[in-house]
Formats: sequence, C-alpha cells, structure tokens
Amino acid sequence: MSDQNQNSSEIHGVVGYYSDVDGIMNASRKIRDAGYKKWDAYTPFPVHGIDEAMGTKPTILPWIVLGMGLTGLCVGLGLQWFTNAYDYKFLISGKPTWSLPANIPVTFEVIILFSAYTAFFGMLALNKLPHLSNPLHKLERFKRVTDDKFAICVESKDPNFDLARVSKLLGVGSEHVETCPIDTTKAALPIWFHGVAAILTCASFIPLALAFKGRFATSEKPQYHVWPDMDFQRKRKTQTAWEGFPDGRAMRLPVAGTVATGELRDDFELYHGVAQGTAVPASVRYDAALFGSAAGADRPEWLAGFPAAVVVDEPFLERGRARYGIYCAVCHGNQGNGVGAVALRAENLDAAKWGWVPPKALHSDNAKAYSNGELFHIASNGISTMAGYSAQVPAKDRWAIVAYIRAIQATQALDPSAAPQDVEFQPVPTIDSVRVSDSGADGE
Amino acid sequence: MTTTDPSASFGGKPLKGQDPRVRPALVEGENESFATVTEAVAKVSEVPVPSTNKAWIVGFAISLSLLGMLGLLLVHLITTGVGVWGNNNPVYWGWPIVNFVFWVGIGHAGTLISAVLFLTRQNWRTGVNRAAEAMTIFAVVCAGMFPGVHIGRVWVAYWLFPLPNQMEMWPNFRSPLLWDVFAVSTYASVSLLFWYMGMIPDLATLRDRAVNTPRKIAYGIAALGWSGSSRHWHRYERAYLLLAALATPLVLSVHSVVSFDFAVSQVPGWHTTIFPPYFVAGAIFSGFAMVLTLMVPARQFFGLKHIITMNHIDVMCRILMATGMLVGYAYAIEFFIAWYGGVQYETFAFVNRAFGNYWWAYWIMVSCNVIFPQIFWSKKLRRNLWVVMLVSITTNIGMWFERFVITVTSLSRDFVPSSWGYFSPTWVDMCMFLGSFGLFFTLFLLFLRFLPTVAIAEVKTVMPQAHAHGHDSHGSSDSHAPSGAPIGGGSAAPASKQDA
Amino acid sequence: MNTSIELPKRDQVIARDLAGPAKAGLVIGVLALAATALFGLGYGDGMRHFGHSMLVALLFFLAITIGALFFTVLHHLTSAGWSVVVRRVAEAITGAFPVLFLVALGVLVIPVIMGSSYIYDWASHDFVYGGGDFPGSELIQAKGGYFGSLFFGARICFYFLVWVGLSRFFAGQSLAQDDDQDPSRTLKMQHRSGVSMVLFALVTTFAAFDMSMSLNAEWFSTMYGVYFFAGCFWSFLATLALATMWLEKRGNLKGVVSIEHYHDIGKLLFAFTFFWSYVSFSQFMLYWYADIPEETHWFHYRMWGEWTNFTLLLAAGHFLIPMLGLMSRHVKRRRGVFAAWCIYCLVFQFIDLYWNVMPEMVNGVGMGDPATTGPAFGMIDITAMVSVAGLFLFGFLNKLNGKPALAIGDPRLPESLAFQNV
Repeated sequence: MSDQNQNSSEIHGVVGYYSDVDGIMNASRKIRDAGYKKWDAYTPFPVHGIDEAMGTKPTILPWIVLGMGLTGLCVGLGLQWFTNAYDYKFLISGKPTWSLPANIPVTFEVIILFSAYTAFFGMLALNKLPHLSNPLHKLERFKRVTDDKFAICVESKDPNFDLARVSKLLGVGSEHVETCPIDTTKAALPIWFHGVAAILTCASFIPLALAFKGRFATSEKPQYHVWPDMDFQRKRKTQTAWEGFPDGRAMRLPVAGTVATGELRDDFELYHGVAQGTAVPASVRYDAALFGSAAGADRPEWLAGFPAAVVVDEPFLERGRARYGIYCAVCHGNQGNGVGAVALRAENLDAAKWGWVPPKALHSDNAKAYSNGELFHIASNGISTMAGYSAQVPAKDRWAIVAYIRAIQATQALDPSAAPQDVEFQPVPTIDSVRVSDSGADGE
Repeated sequence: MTTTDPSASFGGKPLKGQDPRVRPALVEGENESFATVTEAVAKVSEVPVPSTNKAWIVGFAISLSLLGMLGLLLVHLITTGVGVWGNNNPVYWGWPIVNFVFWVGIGHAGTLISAVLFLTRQNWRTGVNRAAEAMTIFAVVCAGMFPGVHIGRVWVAYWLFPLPNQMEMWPNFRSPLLWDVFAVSTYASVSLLFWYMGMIPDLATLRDRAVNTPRKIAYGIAALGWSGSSRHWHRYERAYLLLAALATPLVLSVHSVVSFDFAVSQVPGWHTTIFPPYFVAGAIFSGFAMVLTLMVPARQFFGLKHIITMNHIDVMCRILMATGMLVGYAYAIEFFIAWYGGVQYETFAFVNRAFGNYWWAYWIMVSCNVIFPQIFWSKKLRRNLWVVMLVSITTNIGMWFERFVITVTSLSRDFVPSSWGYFSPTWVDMCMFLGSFGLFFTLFLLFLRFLPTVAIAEVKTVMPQAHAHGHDSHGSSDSHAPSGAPIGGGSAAPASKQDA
Repeated sequence: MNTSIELPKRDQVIARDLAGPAKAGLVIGVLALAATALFGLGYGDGMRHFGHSMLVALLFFLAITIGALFFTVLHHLTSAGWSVVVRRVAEAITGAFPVLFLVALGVLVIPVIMGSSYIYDWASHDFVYGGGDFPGSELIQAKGGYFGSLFFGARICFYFLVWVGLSRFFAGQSLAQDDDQDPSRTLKMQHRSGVSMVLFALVTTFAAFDMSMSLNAEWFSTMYGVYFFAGCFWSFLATLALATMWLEKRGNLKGVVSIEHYHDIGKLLFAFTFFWSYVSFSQFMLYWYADIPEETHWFHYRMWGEWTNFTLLLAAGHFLIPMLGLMSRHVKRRRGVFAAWCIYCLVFQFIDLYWNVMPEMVNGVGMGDPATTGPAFGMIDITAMVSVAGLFLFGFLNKLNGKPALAIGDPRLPESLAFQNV
C-alpha cells in the first residue's frame, strides 16, 4: 500500500486490484452494500452480472434512441414531402409527387441513420467521453486493466470516503491496493497538437464560407471551365454558320436531284389529301383561304373519300381508334368531345389568357363539314394552337385517324330515343359542362 | 484440435462428430488466459516496422502499386470522360455497376457477422467480426467509388444529396438510384461507427501497452480516454445492442435497395419480386467468401490460429454453402416463374442468359455459386484450407459474374431487337477493377498491421474465465459456464430492439 | 455435466389425458365441417364460398404446421441450444400433417381430379380454352400440362409426403432419444437437417405456388414462396408460445420453460413481423413501381375498390401495430401480455391468408369483379376455421398424448434449461 499519510483531499481515490472475475464481483458487492456512490469497477471486458453486483441502474439510452428514431421518421418523410411534393414538383414515371411506396426506402434509411448516430454519440455523451485526462491512467499498474486485471476505484469525492475503511474493504481478496493522486499536470497532449487542431478547425470552415458567399454574390467573370474539352467540342452544331464551307453553313444540303429513301411522296392522295396531279397545298398550319366554306378560288381539290392506298375496313378503324387514343385523346377526349386531360388542365389554368384555343369537339357541325382531305391536312399540319402530327404519325395512320373521326361523328348522330330501354342515356360532357367541376380533372 | 473427440462415446459406441453434450472451446489451447489473448493480438501491431512479416510487405507493395494505377486511371477517366469505358448503347450500365454491386455485396458480411450473429448469440463471431467489419468498410469505399465516377462530372456529385443548389432543384426521391445514395451512405457511416465503437476498448489496450510517444498519442486519442469503467461498459453494451438491432434491418435494406435499382424497371430479367432477398443472400454469400479469403492467410501469417480456429472456418464454410443454395434457389425460381408467367420477353431473357451470347458467363456463375460450394457437405473438405481458399475465391468470381450476367445480358438484349448489342470492356474497365482491389487490399493490410485485428475484449467474454463461479447472488447465471467449455448459447448479450 | 441444473423427471413432463381433448377436437372438426358444407350449399354458388373458406382454414393451419417443421429442422441445422425445451411442442404440432393431408385431399385434390373448378379456375376447361362465357386464357394455355388435374393432385400428394416423412423422422428420433438418451441421435438429426432443409424449402415454395398463388393462374411472383413462408413461421411462433403456456399451465412443462424462452420466442416473432413486412412490401412495391398490367391486376382489385380498407387493415395490423407492440422487452417477458400478442398475431395471419384467397373467389369464373365485391365474411368462414382447427388439434394432441412434453433425452437440455437472456 502506498503512502498512508496522504491527505484525502490530495488523492483522487483508492484503487484495489483483483486477478479474476470472482474477486471483482465480491468486492463490488461489498462496496455497493457499504453504501458508496462515487466508485466504479474497471474491467478489460464487460463482466456478466456486474451491473447487479454494482447496483447500476439501466441506462436511458434506448429511450433516447427511440425518440431520435421517431424524429428520423418525421425528418425522412418531411424532407421528401418538402422537396418533391411541395417545393419542386415534377412528374416522373407517372408516380404521384407524394407517393408513399416510393418514399419508404429513404424514410427507413433516415430512421436508421438518426437512431444509429444517437446510439453511438449518446453512449459517448452519457459516458462523458472523450475524456483524455483521467488520473487513473497515470498509475502504472492500472494499465493492466485493459489487459487481464480488474480494479475498483472509490473516489475521495464520495461523502462516506474514509481512506482506512475503504482500503480495508478493497483489500479483501485483492492482489494490491494503492491510492491514486490527483492529476496535477495541465495538459496530457503536447502544445503543437492544440495548435494544429485549432488551425484545422478554422480551415474546415473555409469551403463552407465560400459556398455561402457564392450563393449570395454575383460575378462578372465568365464561368470557370474545369475540363474545357467538354464545353467546347471540336464539332459544328446543326443550323450554325461555319466558314469552312463555301456557302458558310455548317450543314449540307441533299445532293441535287436526289430523294431520301421513303421521302418520294408522289402519291398526292395519300400524302397530301388532294386529287392526284392537282396543286399541292403548302405544309402550313392553317390558311383560311384553303379551307371550308370561306375558301377562295385556289382552294385545293380536297379528297372527299380515302386514298386508294388505304383500305377502310374494321382493322383499319381499330388502328385509327388506337392511334386516336394515343395522339388525339389527350386533348380531344376519348369521345371526341374536346374534353381531354390537357383541355381540362388548360381550362383549370385559364390558359386562354396565354392565347390557348380549346380543342374542338370533333362531332360538331363545323368539323363534320370538313372533307376528308381537309381533316387529313389538319391532322398533318395543325390548326390554331394544335401542332401538326406528320412527324409522329405515318400518313396511313393519319388516314386511319380520319376514318375514326368519321366513325365518332356517325355514332354521335344517333337518336338517344332509339337506345334500348335498359340503357341509361348519358349525354357526352362538353368542356362547358365540366369546367366548374374540379373532380373531373383526372377524367376520361 | 479435431472436433471428433476420441473420448466422446455413448454406451460404448464412439460418437461420429462433435459431442453434443459439450460445446467446443472458442479459443483453443491449453493455457490460454486473458493476457495471452491480449498478447497474441496486440503484438501484431507492435512489431517494429522493419520486422513486419515478409508476406505482408510483398502484399502491401503490390496493393499500393495497384492503388497508384487506379489513381492514374481515375485522372484519365475524369479528364477524358466516361467514353474510356466500354459502356455504350445499349449497355450503359457496364462494368462500373457490376463492380459497384460486387463490392457492396462483399461489404455485407461484416455487419452481418457483427450484428445478426450477435443478436442470434453466435459467439464464434468474436474471432472474426473485427476483420469482417473492416472488410465491410473498405469494400463499401471501393463500391462507392464506381457510381461516384460513373456520373461523369464528378465535381457536381453533390447534386446527389438534397442540398440547396444554384438551380433551386431537389433530387428525385422516387428514383431507386437516390434510394441507393441514402442506403449506401447510411450503411457506410453506420458500419464505420459500429466498427470504431467495437474498437474503442481494444484501442485502449494498445494505448496502455504503447511504449513510444507517437503510439501513445495516436492510440490515446483514438481510444477517447476509455478506462474500462463498468458503468461505461453498461451503456456501451446497450449501445452496441441497439446498433446491432439497427444494423440488422439496415444490412437487409441496403442490398434490397441495390436490387431495386434493377427490379423496379421493366427490363426482362431484372423485374422480378424475389430480387431483394436474393440480392441479400448473394451479398452475404460473397461477403463470407471474402472473409474466408482474407482470414485464412491472415490467421496463418499473424499467429492467430488459436483464436480464429478451424471451427470458425468450418462454420463459415457451412454458411457459405447455405447462402450459395439460397442463391441457387433464386436462380431456379426465377427460371420457373419466367416460364410460368408466360411473358415472352421474360422467358427469352432467361433462355438467352443460359444459351445466348453470354452463356459462358452464366455457366461460370452457376458453377461457382451453386455447384462448387456443394463440396462443403464434406466435413473433411471444410477443414482443408487449400480447398476452402479455392472455393472462397471461385465464389467471389462467381458472384462477380452473377452481377455481370444480370446487368449485361438483360441490357444487351432488351425489347427492341434493332438496339441489341454486345458489350465488351476496355482496358480501362479491366484495370480499374483490378485497381479497386489495390485500394481494398491497401486499406485492409494497413488495418491488419496497425489496428487490433481481433476484438480482444469480446474474445475474452467468451472464454471460460470470464464467468463468475462462486457466491453469485443471482441464481443460475454461473450455471452456463461449465468448467472447460463455455456453452455457445449462454454468455454474451443477445438482444431485442429497444430493450428498454 | 452441470450439477446446478436439476433435470426434470420423466414422469413430471409426460402429457397425460390428452386423448379426450384430441377426440373432442376430431368430433368438433367433423361437425363443423358438416356445418360448413351446409352453409356452403346455402350460398348456391356451386360451393365456391365453401371451397375458398376451407382453403383459407387449411392454409392457416398448414402454415403453422410448416412453421413447426421448419423450427425443428432449423434447430438441428444450427445445433441450437436454447430451444430444446420447446422443441417437443413443435414436433407434436408437425403431427398434424397427416390429418391436414386428408383435408387437402378432400377439399383440393379429389374435387380437382373429378373435374370441379370450384376453387381453381384453371381446372375449368372453358375458362382456359374458351367456351361458354369465357374468352379463354392464352397465358394459362401456355403453361400446358402444369395445371393438369392429375399432375396437380400428384404434386400436392408429393408435398405432403415430404412433410410427413421429414416430420416423422425428426419427431421419431427425438422420441426415441427420450428413452435411450443417445447423443448420436442428435448427431444423426444434425447430419440430415441440411438435406431436409433443402427439400423443405423447395416443397414449401411450390406448395405456396400451387395451393394459393394459382388461384389467379395468370398472376405470378417469384417472391410468393418466401412470402407464404414468412407467414408460416410467424404464425407458428405465436402458436408455439400459446401451446407452451397451455402445457405449462397443465403442469407438463412447469419449472422447465422460463420467461427467458418466451422472451426469445418473442424476439423471433418480432423479427419475423419485420421479415414478413419486408417481403410483402418488396413484392408490392416492385409491382406497383413497374406498373405492368399483367402483374398489377392482382394488387389492383385488392387496393382500389371494395378491398381497400381491408388492405389498409392488413398493412397496419400485420406490420405497424405488432412492430411497435412487440418492440419492448417488457411485453415479451410477461406471459399474459405476450399471450395476448400471440393471439393478435394469429388473427392477422388469418387476415393475411383471407386477403390472399378470398378476392379470388369472385374473380375469374363468372361471379363478378373483386374490385366491386368486397369481403363477404360470414359464419361459413368461422365454421371452416373451427373445423380445421378441430382436426389440427386432433393431430397435434394425438401426437403428444402419453409422451413427454419435453425432449428429456436431448443432450443439450441442461443448456436450454439454464438459458438466460442478458
């Protein structure tokens, strides 16, 4: 035993050492039963049953973790709701902006992240770690505690502390008892360490500060190009000028007198909707002089029937119905009544103020009055705000759509009273009838 | 020690196998004590650098050169663009994604050994969990690199995270690729915590044994002032239990999310519901194979044969075989349902895998993953280290090819025959994959050399001396420490989540 | 080997006088079966409701029995220690396989072979090849002979033969060990557990495909076998805890099974709550996300229509509530509270199977659209459950009657008795 004459205020505590698990368990029970509070057992590994022998109360760590797990749940869901369903909405793969099944994986990961960090840092905080200057670490013998020895230290701060009594209690079954002096050395770490740590800490704020400044500052300088060969490539883009060719254009024209495969459109009926050999109307969106009753003298000879290249039969109409469903129904509606999803959306947004012209009902008298050739021309080249579809839909399919529009017009002319008695007749909604009801917005 | 204890018999007949009446000792040897365990593990990191094991030095030199090559290739890739890879229409996901899934898969065994085996009280885990956790982290580092550089413009990689940016945009949380970002980064950081937390007491051991100042400072800071206080141990164990309980579903989720990258799409051969558990089983399979590949030589070279015993190898071989069969189960069910479902694209995708252009990859995969591990039905072969090494390496090869088969065969033969193609890697692809092994082994060899390779404190808890014998006030707690052999089911903490 | 553990005497643990309850189970089972059949006739739907109700009940008890077999095989596969004290209960539960086989023969196999399509639409020639009101189904035609009625019957018989064979081997060895205490029997069972597990996995997967997934023969999911298995083990664990408590109350396992064992069963129950949720969420999410019509239709009429609330009930009751409820150790360490949670789990296992089977009752063969025909829970479902429950109990108790309720010859019994959670 070391210096017994030491004043108890100058010592940190008394340490007893034991060589096996039984020894420390017995000593722990004695100290516990003697009513000490400021003491601890030190072991190289967690000893099973020592919590009970020491009278340690269960830690509240699990509850903290549970609380942070629930916080993670809210943060995970909230983050996804705010970013994707509130602040920056965009439609992707047809999923709703706020779609729970797709949000579960990230929510789960955030819960785990929060809980796991809380478990680790909560453990450190409750254990008051890191705590580098511990007077016990100054004892040479104490170093064996992380190897194969067991120790108990009763601290002098304990109100019941009595050097002699504690030494006696710890002495039973121990292999050694010593006092631990108070640690008087100032810093356990060399001074340069503090300096380096301080510099690194300050330096770590520099990138953050720069990013922060960048968000609120404007710059006159051109953008910095990290790898310029990606931004400035050695190629000419379409529709640009280039002095390398005599005509100054980057693009080349087809060789004179040649036609690309499939581009020889010499069947006027099929490709232009006019009688073979007559004047071909320009591929323009809409020219009142060419159309309907207001047409002028140079009205083309619009085809009334169908071109010879197509056979109007049931598969052809089916084809038309399918193409119509893909290309036309979003605006004109499945029933041709002009109540498609886009039309409804435009109505709700009051898009007319931007010059939007609502799609027409295809069974209106106006539409019926058009010849097949005119309908074909409109489908190909567009009218008012409608775009032309000649790029997306092949000519034969456009004719199939025309045939299907005629089918719509024919069915809409039926007399409701001729319907069978057990069929409830419902008039087809028009854009006016659905305008006020928001609920129909997903309709069609 | 052999497991067939010659003295074990019943009614005069000798028992064929480990006597079920006793559990084999986890730490083998006649006079093993706490001090000898500490000594055996700690001395690995304490030998002076010049007298390091020659095998380590050679291995480290090779790894470091491969790492250097990887560094150069990364510079080449970033300054030139991803065109240096073989990825092109229609196989835009080529080797980088294959490598990513391969490495993430390997990164699963560590946390599995630490967490799941902890919760199921498989005490043998203490011998290998530290190294497995380290392997996890280094494998995830390798994994994270590939998608990181695959994005092309690495300097805007932060767009992956929900940070406010100059375009006022947020990432799309409905995309499985973003789930991946969250899953892999959560997994990496939680695994790091788990690994580091387990190491704190052992770092304290190294600190207390340190004789020179640099070691004292380095281990002193890393050990955070750990003193072995029982009050600390109490919270530490609770936190470890919680981390284990959290890490278990996390392990399950990470590779499931990786599988979602494929399975939420409509690509034939990718879109099938068994993908999540199938990927998890495959990940555990490849992870255990990598643990074996690493630990069989490591225990040899660093004198840890009594701590990582033949019983450990035996158990891991059995897990390898079991997970291999789970993977085989998934292959079989996929094939069956491809036919049963009657979807012609799906049927074609699977027939094409087995008999199409990439038939060789498919059959390498099946042989390495399903057929070769079957030899572990034999106990003799499970205890033949050459066989174990061979099969663990073929398993890693097989699992790499599994990811190759899934990624490349499906993409190269998608719905539109006009876009079919044949994927060939470039030299950059191949060398970067090789280089990732350099990164992995450099980190792992550094770990072996400078950090506690075995969880010293945890191994001590499963030694017979760790249990109190007499005067125990609470009844039967000493009863599961019969003399000589600790019972596997008894000692270290089992768990349930949030045991409050 | 351990002197501080007192091994129970053989006489203390023998489960006597179970013949009476077993017979009562048989009588109640048969009577309830008759009542169910009468109710079924009353529906006038060609016994379709009867067939589906019986299928739910059969799957429910088959799931428990399959779980028991898995538990037994897994015990040997992992050389487990803690579970020795409850293993006999699991072995006894596997004694219900033969009687469930008879139910399966009567309800599934024989009617299908005789040409009835009252449960499985694919057994109807018109439904598959067109005729009557049906357009026919190319998808089912493509499966060719797989859905031949004889082949189907042979498969079901094969599954049951494997289950019965495995369960008889493991239970038989265990019972023999009671008498001779021979540790080499443990080694033998451990040795065969690997192959047994492989067989078990394949048979159980295909049983799930054939008995439940093929109700909608056009739908398919590679996960379905795992999904069914997750429910099997989940419901078995709840049954195991309840049966053990009952035997403890009878005095057969008094002082043998401690709260530590329930705690461990509880942890597994919690883990499999999570596993079931993981599997079923993955199955749903992958189909929801890819949105391919031939895959989503199965979920569609369960989620958007009359079954919506039922589906939400399943999600909340099978995952959220038990996950929060079973999290705390205090719940698992109090017999009364834990028993209540076990009953809760069994109720939701029933709801899960009901959700899998019943929407298919009106789907397919001309009874309407499941999306507009919601759950039609009636007395018939209760009597069907009572009926199979009675028969199940008969099989279980008959197996246990007069035998030790504890594997007293197991060499790891002391380890299991001393088992403690920390």
